[in-house]
Amino acid sequence: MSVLWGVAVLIVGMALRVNPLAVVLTSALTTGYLAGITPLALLALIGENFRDKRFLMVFLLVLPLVATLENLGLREYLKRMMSARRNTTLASVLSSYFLVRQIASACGLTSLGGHPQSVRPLLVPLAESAAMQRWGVLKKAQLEKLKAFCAGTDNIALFFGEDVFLAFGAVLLIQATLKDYGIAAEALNISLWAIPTAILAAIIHLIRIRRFKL
Amino acid sequence: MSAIIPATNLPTSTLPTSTLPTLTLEPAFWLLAVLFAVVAIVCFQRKAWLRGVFWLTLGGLFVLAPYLPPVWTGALVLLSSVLAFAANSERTEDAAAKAQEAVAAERSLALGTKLLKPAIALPLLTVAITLVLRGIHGNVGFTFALNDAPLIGLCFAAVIVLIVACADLKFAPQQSAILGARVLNQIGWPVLLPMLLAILGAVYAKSGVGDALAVHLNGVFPTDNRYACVALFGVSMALLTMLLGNAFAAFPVVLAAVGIPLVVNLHHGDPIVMSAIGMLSGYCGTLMTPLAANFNLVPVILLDIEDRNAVIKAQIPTALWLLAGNVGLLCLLVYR
Repeated sequence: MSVLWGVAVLIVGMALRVNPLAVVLTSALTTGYLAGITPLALLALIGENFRDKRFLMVFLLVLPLVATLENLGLREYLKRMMSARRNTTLASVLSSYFLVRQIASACGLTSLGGHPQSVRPLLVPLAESAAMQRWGVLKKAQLEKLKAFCAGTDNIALFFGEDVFLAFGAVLLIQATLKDYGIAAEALNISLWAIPTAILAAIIHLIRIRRFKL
Repeated sequence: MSAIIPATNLPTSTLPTSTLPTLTLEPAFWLLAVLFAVVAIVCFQRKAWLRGVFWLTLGGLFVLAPYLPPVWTGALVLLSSVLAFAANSERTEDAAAKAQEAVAAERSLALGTKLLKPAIALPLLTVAITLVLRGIHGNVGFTFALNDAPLIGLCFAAVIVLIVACADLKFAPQQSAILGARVLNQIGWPVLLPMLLAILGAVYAKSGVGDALAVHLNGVFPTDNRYACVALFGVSMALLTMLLGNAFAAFPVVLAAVGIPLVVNLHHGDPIVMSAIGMLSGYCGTLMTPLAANFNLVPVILLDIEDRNAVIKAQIPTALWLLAGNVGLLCLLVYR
C-alpha cells in the first residue's frame, strides 16, 4: 500500500479535529509501517529526531522574562503610551513593523523579529492599543484575530525578505541542488531573482494591512 | 544559555571534525529542563499529578536525549504524548491571573520606561550577539554550527536581559521562573506539537512520501505546454511544501520530478530563475500548513490563541495571491 495513506490519516484527522497529538503520532506510525520500517527502527527514528529537533523549543526560554515584564505591566504601559499619541493607526503600526522586518531580513538580520522576542512583547500590545483607539475594547474573537494577523505579518516579512540575503540557507540549498544536475549557479544570481517576489509580497501584504478590519 | 563544552562529549554527528571546544545548544536544553521542572512543581502543588509527571518526563528527555539510545528516547516520547493526552482533563486554571491585571496597570505607572527597555533590548541583543558570533566564527578558540548562531544569540539575550531587568526592577529571578512556568502550564500539551510535527516530517521524508507524490503528479499532465509546465513547478512546490511542512524538503523532489525534466530539459527554461522563484512559491505553501509548526503553531501557543489554525487563516489570502503572482513571474521570467 502506498505511504500516501499515512498522509491521508493526517489530513482526515486534522479535518475531523481529533486531538492533534494522536493524529500526528498515528500518521507517523502508519506512514512508517507502510514504508516497511520496523517498529524498533521507527522508535529509533522518532528518538533521533526528538534529539535533533530540541532546538525548536529553545524559544520557550524567553518566557520568564516576558512573563515578568507582563506581570509588572508592560502591556498596560504600551497601551498608555499609544493612547497618548492619537494619530497612530493600526495600519501604520503593522506596516512599519512589516517593512523593518522585511528589510532587516533581506540584510541577514533574521533574528531581529520573531514571535518570542518581538511579536509577543512589543508588536501585539502596540497593535492592540492602536486597534482599541479605532474599535474600542476588543472582544476575545477580535483580539485573537489581531494576534494571529500580527504573527502572520512577522512570518511573511521574514519569508520573503530572507531569500534576498546571499548567505541564506535556501540560496545555498538551491546552489547545491542545481550543482547535482551539472548546473553552475552564482549565489548572487539566485538571491537577485528573489527580489521580484519580495516586492510583490510587500505590495500584497501592505494592501491587506490597509484593508484589515476587526 | 549556551556554554563552552568539550567537543568530545557531543552527541550530534553534524559537528566539524576539529579539536576545538564547541559551543552548542545543550546548556540551553538544560535550562529548559529546569524550567520544565519548575512547571512540574507548580503542577504538583495544585495536585495535577499527571501534568507534573508529563513536564518532568519532558525535562528529563531534554537533558538525556543525547545519551539515551534513540529507541528509548522514541519510546519515552510516545509515553509522554500519552501522558499529555491523559492529563488533558486536569484543570489548573489560574484564578489569580485576572486580579493580577488590575495590579499590573497600577504598577506600570510607577515603573514607566524601565519596563520598555528590556522589551526593546531583547531583540536588539539577540541580533548583536548573532552578528558577533557570525563575525568571529572560525577565528576564535571555540567553534559552533553557524546555523545555531541566532538561537545561541536568543538564549544569551534572554538570560542576560532577564538578569539585568530583574536587578533594575528589583524583582526576584526565582519569581520570574515561576511566572514563566505558569505561562507554560497554561499552554499545556500543545507545547509538544512543534516537535512532533517536525518528527512527522522526518518520518515522511524517510518513508519517501515526496517521491510517491511525484509519481502521481506526473503522467496526467499536458507536458507540451511550456507555461503549464512552469506553472506546475510553482504549484507543486507549494502543495508538496504543505504536505511536508518544509520548502527545503520539497525542493529536491519537485526539481527532480518537474523542474529538470520538463522545464529545463524539455522547454529550455532558465534553471536559476525557476529555482529561486519556485522556492518562494514553496514558502507560500509554508504559510498555509500546520506542519510548519515553528511558524504557524508556535505563535498560536506563544500568543495564547485558542484556534490552532488562526495564524494560517490570517496568512492564506497573502499566500494565495502571492502564489498566483509567483506563477505569473515564473511564466514571464523563466523563458526570457
